[in-house]
Amino acid sequence: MNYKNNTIIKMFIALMLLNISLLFNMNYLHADSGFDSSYDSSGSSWDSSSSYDYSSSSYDYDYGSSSGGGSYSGKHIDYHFDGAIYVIVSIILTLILNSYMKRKSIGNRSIYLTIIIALLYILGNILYGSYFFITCFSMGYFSFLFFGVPIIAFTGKRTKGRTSNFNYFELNGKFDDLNTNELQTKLFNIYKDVQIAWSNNNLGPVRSKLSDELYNSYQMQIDSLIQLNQRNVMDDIEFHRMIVTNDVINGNAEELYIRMEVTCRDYIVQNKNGKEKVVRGNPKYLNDYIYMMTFVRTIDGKVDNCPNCGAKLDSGASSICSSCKSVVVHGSDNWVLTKKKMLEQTRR
Amino acid sequence: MNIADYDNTITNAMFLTKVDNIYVMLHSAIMKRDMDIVKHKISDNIYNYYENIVNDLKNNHEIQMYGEFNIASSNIRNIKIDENFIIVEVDMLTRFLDYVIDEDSKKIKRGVNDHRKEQHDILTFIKKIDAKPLEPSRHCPNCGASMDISKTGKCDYCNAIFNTLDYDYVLTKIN
Repeated sequence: MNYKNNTIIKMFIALMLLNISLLFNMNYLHADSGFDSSYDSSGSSWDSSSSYDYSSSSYDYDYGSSSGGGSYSGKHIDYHFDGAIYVIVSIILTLILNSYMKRKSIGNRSIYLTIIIALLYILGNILYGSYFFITCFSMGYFSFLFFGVPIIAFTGKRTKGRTSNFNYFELNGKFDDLNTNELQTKLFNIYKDVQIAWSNNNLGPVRSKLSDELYNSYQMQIDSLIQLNQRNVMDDIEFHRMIVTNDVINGNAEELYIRMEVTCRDYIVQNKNGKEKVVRGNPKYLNDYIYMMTFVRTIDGKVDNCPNCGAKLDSGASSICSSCKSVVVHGSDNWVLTKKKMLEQTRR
Repeated sequence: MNIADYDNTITNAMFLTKVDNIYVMLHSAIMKRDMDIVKHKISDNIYNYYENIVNDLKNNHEIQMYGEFNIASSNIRNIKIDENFIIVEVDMLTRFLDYVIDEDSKKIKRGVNDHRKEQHDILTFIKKIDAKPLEPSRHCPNCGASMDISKTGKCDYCNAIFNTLDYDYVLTKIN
């Protein structure tokens, strides 16, 4: 199923739920090693702008020209035509408001927009009577479906890096050292071990599983967490699916591009007076993550012995010589994680 | 664009990992208020620019915080070669909490720490065409001590700065 169909279906479902969700705050709070996912309540599974920002606009009507009072008997209102115009104008106004709030880095955009829509409904009810709700909801609902959803689906901002159609390689015997299931297990375990180490603010156990640069990048981010007495907990990590999207041999290195789907709990805790308290995210919820990861291994030219003293080096892309303490970047014939990018995040 | 067509010592994935690391190092140096950590990876004008910012922070007893720092995407935008250098432009999209705290009380003075801002930068990196290969073990040019240049360019023993431009890519511009 391609991305656009997914978007339209999700917006359709979101719109159906909106009338129930008007009074509720839909907070999405996430995390990840390297902070790939977002804790922002305005963050969505697809993008920094939430789908609920668009769906809520279907209720943002301007009935200034409509008849007043408790019924519509005084004037005729063309619900079909007027409703569609109101919805389109509402969508445009919502997009402008959403864009303004994004530029000003205003968080909780979906909450503000939902509250505005609810207030407009209440105002409409006061001005035009309860019939307003039934009429404009049904007309707006269907008008939005036929006008607004295509506009938003085909003009809305897309998350970079999403792949809807991709070629993937059947592994079957492609890697002569591991079969498909073994490689899948190995790569997932690298990811899981890195996440556990990240959760513990201690990358020491996984240094050999990360590229030199990625190890140091993560370490710097952990340093900032330690400075705040925080740690990013990731647990209940489960594997769902993995697909090899590309396998590239460049010089003496082989790069494997993997699309991996996992589930986990993800939240940040802060240590205050010896007790850890959740400060971002929610440990109650499971999150579905889809990543694009790059693993690298050295085919040729790997350094096995320290160039300074000749001592045997540990496995991994870089290590500290146990004899002379030199830092050596030597490549690894085992797969190491060199890049991890979040493609999609959804809270269950 | 494929950087290997211009520089056969590196692939796109390896280059972008390097780029991500430099960018994280830059922001980490600002947080630690020590630009010497990343001096070897950036040009003098970028170093001087951020050194002034760091000095202002120190004078005001402030610490710049970049929380939940994430590089959402980094892509090679353009590659060209002039007489002496390979010049690579990178589109960088990052998300992070951006706020300033008081050095002593740790209270927030500016910014917000409950939602991340999104920032789009265009970074320019250069590498000498006749750059020497980086040895597996890197040493201080002054005293010969072993150095971990992915972590810092300043020698732990003599404080000399590793000259990355002779070997590898250096960040020269941020738009």
